[in-house]
Amino acid sequence: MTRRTIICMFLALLLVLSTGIFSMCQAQGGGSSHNERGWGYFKKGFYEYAPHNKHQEANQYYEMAIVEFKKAIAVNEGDVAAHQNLARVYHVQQKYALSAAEYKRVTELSPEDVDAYLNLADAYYRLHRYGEAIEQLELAKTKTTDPVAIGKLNGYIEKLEKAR
Amino acid sequence: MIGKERLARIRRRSCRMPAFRPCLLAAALVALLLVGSFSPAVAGNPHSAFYSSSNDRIFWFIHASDIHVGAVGSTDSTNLQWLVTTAKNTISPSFIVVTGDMTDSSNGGLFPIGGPYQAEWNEYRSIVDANVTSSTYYDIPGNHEAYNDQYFAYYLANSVQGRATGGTQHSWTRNLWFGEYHFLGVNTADNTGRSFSIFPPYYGDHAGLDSTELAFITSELQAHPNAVLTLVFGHHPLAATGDALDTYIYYGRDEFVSLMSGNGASLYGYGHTHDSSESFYTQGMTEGVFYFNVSALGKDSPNQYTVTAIDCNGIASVTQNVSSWPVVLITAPMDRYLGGIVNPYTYSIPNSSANPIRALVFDTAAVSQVQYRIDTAGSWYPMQRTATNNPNYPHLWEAAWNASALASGEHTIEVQATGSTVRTDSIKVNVLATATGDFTGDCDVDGSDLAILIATPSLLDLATFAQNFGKSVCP
Repeated sequence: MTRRTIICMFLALLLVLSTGIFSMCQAQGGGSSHNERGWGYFKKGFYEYAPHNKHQEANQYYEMAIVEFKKAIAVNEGDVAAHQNLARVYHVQQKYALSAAEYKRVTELSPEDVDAYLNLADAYYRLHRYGEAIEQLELAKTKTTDPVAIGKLNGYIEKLEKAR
Repeated sequence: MIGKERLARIRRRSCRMPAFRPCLLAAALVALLLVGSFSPAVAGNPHSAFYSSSNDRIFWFIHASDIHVGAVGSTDSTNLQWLVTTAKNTISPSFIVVTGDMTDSSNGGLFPIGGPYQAEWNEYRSIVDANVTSSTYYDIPGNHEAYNDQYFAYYLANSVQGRATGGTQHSWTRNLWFGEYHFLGVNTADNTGRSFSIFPPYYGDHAGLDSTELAFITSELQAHPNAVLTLVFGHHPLAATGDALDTYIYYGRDEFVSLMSGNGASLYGYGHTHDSSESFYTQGMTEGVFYFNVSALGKDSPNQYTVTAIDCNGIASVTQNVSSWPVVLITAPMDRYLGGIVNPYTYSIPNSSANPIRALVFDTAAVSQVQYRIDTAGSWYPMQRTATNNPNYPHLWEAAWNASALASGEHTIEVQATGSTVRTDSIKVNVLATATGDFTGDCDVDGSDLAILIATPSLLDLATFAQNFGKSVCP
């Protein structure tokens, strides 16, 4: 192997590596910007139009937000914030099955996030899937040692048992 | 002819007893004027209550809280509808103040998450807009209006006061022929838009008053220096209640309490805890404020509201369950106790032969009889509708109670009304053998009584007052 070949191979490797790093950076930066843009659309619809009963306009912004959050997920499927935001928009649109699926993904990606279990339980409750809602609250109980929080969760479980 | 020696004697006597009283009176007047000239103006005087037979210095309002429209399994909308129709029409309050949590922010879900929900606000508006106006209904934000909504966008776009003023804090007055009364609704809810949480200590409700909110409170208190009484309302308790689940004002409280104290506020009324209580708050205050907590109107049991009356500047209050009648509230004399402690702003009453007793009675059915008795025994004595003499007060009943045979000390007054049902209100008073002109009931006739007489000359003729000035009959 000549010196020239070695140099060429080294340069090629460098090129491959730098391309990979660049595309990774682009993915992260792109996901984040999609999230930000999506959140901006959501806020516009949710805080500027919905409180004035301008539901059509609000929904247009929600749809634009969904597109952005989905793009963020396409760039990085493990983007917790994007799944969380997407779940929130679906919830506001009362698409609770879709919302539940996204919150479920959040609990998988971020298993220590107790709020995600609550959100998922709420979505199941609205879908009348009380057993699954109870399951999520039981899971939430395993994520905390705070007696007040556990007491509150038990109260909600009791409420769900009655509903079941 | 008067000799020189006699004239000199008269002159020397001119500032001795008994002729010195006018001197003292004049001195007191001058002192009072000086104090008035140099003291900074305050917005209210909790000590201004006086015991009088005047039956036309009274008004009342309703305090409700925590309606929680949208909460699953509650009678929120039904109770709100009842409040702004049946209760309003029967009680005829000067206004209704609702101290937060008009909506639940759960929209029938398990938790108050994912909101605010316009559907809840639409439900709320469909009830209030048809029945109240912004000059008679004051709704201030609570923590359920603050979850996920840093700028209170939903509150501002949908609440009665948010729409009317564009603000989250509100100041209003009642200017009556007997004085100006100032009311302030403050926004104690969190200003960060946090979400609901199950974790202590804040549960997503880091309540408090920031510098902008405190500036509004300061300016509104300063803008009403002539208010006879100042009453303040907010959603949260001022301090921990003893229940770890109850959040309270975490920041800005010391400044807020100091403002209330410095401006002579008489009362802080709040909700949030879904409990009712009457007590007195003194922490960080010179004297303190009535500290009235009202239970939830629409969520949890019992669903309650409060009727508060101001009669000759004395504050009286009764808490009542929704849809239960009659409401009976003794407005004069003032109750000696508040939640078991002596009310510092009340007065003692004389053992006169014609002590006034007044009570408000409200009922959807006709009230056939109102009567009173003393010390929970003996005869019941009839009370008459004030409307006979004053048609402006069809709900006010009165009687002249002969207390001349009573010993000094504590006595109980009960007023019982017969309407839809028979209901009794009861208070304790401190009776003293005291002198005419002792409006404050501190068992002497002094400068503080003079101040009241100056403000209300019709209470007593000056000559009688001057005759009693300086008398002390404290046991």
